Amino acid sequence: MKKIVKDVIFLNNDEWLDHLKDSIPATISGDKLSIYAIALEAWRRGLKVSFYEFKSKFRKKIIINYTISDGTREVKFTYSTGSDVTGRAKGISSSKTRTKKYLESEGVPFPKGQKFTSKSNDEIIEYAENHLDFPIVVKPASGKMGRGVVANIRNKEELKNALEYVRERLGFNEVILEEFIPGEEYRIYVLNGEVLAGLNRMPANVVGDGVNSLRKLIKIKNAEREQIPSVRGRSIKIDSEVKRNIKDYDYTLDSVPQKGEKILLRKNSNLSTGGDPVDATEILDGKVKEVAVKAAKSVPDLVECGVDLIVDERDGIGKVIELNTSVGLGGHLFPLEGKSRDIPSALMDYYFPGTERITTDLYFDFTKVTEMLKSGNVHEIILPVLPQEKIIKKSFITKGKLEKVGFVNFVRKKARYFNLNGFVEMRSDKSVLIVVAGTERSVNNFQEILTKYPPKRVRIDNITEGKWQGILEAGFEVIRTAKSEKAEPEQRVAIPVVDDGHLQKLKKTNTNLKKTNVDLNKTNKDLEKEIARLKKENENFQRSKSWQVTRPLRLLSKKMVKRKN
Amino acid sequence: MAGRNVELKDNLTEEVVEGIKGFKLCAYSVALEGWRRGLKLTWYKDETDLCKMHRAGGSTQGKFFSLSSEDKSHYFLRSRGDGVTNKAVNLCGNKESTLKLLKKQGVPTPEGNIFDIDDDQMFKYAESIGFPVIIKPLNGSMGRGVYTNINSIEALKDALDDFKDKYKRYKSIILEKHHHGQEYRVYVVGEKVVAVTNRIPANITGDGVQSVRKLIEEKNEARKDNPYLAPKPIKIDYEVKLALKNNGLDMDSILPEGQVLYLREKSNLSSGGDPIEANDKISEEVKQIAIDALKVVPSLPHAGVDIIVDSEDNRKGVVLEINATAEISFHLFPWEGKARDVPGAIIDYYFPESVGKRKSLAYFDYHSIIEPLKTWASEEVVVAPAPRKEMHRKCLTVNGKVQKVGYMNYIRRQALKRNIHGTIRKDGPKQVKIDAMSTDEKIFDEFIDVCYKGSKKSRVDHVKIEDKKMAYTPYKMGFVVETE
Repeated sequence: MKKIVKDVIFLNNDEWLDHLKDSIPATISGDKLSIYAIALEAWRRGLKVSFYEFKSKFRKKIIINYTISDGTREVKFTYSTGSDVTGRAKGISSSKTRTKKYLESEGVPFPKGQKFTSKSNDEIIEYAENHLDFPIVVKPASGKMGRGVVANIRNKEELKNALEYVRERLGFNEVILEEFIPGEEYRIYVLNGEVLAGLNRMPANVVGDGVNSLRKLIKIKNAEREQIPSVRGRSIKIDSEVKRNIKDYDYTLDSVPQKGEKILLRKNSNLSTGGDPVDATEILDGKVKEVAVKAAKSVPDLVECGVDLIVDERDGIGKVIELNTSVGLGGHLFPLEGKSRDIPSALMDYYFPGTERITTDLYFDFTKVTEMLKSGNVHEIILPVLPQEKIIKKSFITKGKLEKVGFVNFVRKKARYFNLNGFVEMRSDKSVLIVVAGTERSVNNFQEILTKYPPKRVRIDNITEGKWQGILEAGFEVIRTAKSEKAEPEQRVAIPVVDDGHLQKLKKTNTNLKKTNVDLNKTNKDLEKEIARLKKENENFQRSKSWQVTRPLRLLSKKMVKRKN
Repeated sequence: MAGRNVELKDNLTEEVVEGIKGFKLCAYSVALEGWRRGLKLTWYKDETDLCKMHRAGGSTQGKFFSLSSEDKSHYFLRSRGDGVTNKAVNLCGNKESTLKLLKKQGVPTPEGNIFDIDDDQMFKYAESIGFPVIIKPLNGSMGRGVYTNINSIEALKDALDDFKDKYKRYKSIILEKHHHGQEYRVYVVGEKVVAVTNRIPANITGDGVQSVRKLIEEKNEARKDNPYLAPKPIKIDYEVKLALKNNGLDMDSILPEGQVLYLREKSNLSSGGDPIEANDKISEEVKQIAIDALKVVPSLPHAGVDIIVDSEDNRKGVVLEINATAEISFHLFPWEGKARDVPGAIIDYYFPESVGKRKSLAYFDYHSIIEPLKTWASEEVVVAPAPRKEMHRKCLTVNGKVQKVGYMNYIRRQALKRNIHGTIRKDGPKQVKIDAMSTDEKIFDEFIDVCYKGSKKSRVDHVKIEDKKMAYTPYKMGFVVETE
């Protein structure tokens, strides 16, 4: 929420998009991330962005919808989907049965299957024997997060067990039987007939470093995940499934895997249970991509589509599982391995061809927007539209008689008059820091008024102009208490014009050092905990009967040792 | 303070206007009235391409808004709607041109003329219009440099010397006849007088028992019942002490019963003055003068007119000024008399089809809506529509492990999803109270289930459900976790 950069996470994965590295506040994850990334791209292109709340009676959920407009065309978005995807297209893709009809008519390969609502288990088995090829998979018709999915069922007997488990034990009466396709599953994003991204989801995993225990490795991985917008808040929980998988490796939580050894902690690859999004755009076979494009095209008006398919390891053919609208973009934007794919930019190029990003130095407070829309008080919020010109940043440290003479209000008024973003801050050394971002003309006009025409009671002795390295929040704010001095100084202090490259290096080193420091602190804490645990164990041991009973024996052996000497 | 008759509007309670002051309160009260009638309310950070209203020298955030029905929109700055043209605003901003125009059209105004500060002609002129006279700077404001009740040529010379000494900036002055009599602010909409207020300087009334100090304290205490006057107490400063001294009194003096003591010269409400509602105290003739004054200015459908009523003949009066962006809050929150619904009259004027429509009792969270506009982080904010259907209300008392386990926030989210308004608050260590309101009675069954179910870490032992009647009191939009 703050203008202060400390709430924005600085990411330093080189494979990620430069213009998003510093722009995702720590409060944004999940669905919000997709909405924010698209709206941010649109806003940075000088388009008009308006958010509004929509109460879905059906889902009992407050959905934040938004429209993007260039003055002539207005596009309505729900999650990541724009209005070129018609309601009909959404309807078809949300129904697996209807989707299959369209896929079939276009000759797109997909695993054969059937949905059962009221038939008895025996009838289902009979159907499977006559119409499907084993191995097959059974899944609940309305399942979520992979719950109740039984895969690789090889025969009639196993099918019977599986049906009993899913229908009777778990209570999912409606089930789907489908051919089981062995192979890797991919999510392929298709926009207007073109594959933009392919994603492979890897089950929750850790990689050994030869030093840390599995317990510790999971902890480190979870801390890392908190830093990554796509998987933030989706940690690996050590539950019975994770323990079972570790056991399969003949390890315990205290085992230390070798350096480079990858331990898969789950079977399912859902991101929500700790899975990793891994970019696979480049490894996908051209033929597989063709299938994805064909699948998306088979449904009319499905211009944006997330195609789920399995590449059959037996014949290398992509077989379509599902077509999705409202695709989550987090994994594509912030994969744990591989390159980011800039879908928000592609979407804007598609809906608003000819527009270009004006700035990467500004972001807007999306958390505030969502809070307001969900407060029940606000129906719609429109962001200020950026001017269609290059945006520059400048900082000024002013010194002189600036207190209680209306200087800060003067700065605020002028900054707003010239439509500048940034902030003015009174610092404890009585200097005033001003940071502005806007068109070159308006920044220069502001500077001229600041230097030549300050209010009468103000006396400026000195103005130091500098470059501002950090990213700025939209709007212009007055900061009365110098928060900067409490926060990370290297981000906050205006840096006089120096060699940028050197500075970036220093910043990076500093960030890395800080990270190391955090890690060391953590390790230290863990060690302390471990010592405390051992001490307690030791105490317990000394208190234990067997230790006390054997005391005379130990004394005796000590004496004997002495005698020997 | 006995015998003071006051009648405030019960849909504009203290909570509804909490923390909203000055011109923002003007804007808010007009916006709220329109919104409560079902109009769409949008707040803007700044003027828009569609509407460039004269700002009257102020900022726009929290004061600039539009109201829309299905087929039309009107923009407002503070209390001024877009029916008042910028030309009219400019004209009213210049007192001299206004008075000249009024005079030309036969509306009574004080006799006066503009003079160069060193022009000796003014003494002759003063004699011709007759003493007492007033001098004031041309284009001055806020009563600065105004010298009143000047009774002779000598006094006029003294006043001029003092003026030249203190206000070097002004080269021209206005010399005007000083009319004795009460000054009234008359708010006119269309061809109707909606509100009349007489603003009087800070004062106390003696009871023959209590000291001046105690009387001021009591008066300030009584002002707290009025949300508009509450933050404007009488402060005991140099001016007040001087007034006491001039009356041969001090802070410990006892004032005889019934004696009114004025503590200041000027009738500013902000320094403790009283707005006295006076709709029935001025004559129809004077009201007509105010209406005529508006008619003379082109495109001025509503405004506040300052009139001095002749102390000898209450059918006579002179217009001092027309305020195109008048403050209206004191009409809504008088110290004495009946609140006059200026916002209602303004909305009636712009949206005649909304007259008599069912009004919501809700109010919205003005402060949080205005915040992103103040920092220019958003361009426009549209307020969620006011619930205008009949409201149902239930009060739930929930026992169990319901504090510090995320229960209260969980209930808030669940309520908001279902369009349920209300509050949740702690009530003892193991109990919370929920006050829930909705236009959809059926939604409560579901909501009650949610209250039983609770959040992940909570444990609900018992829920007591009471049906409550909707009281005729305003309620806030949204669902709030109340903290002590």
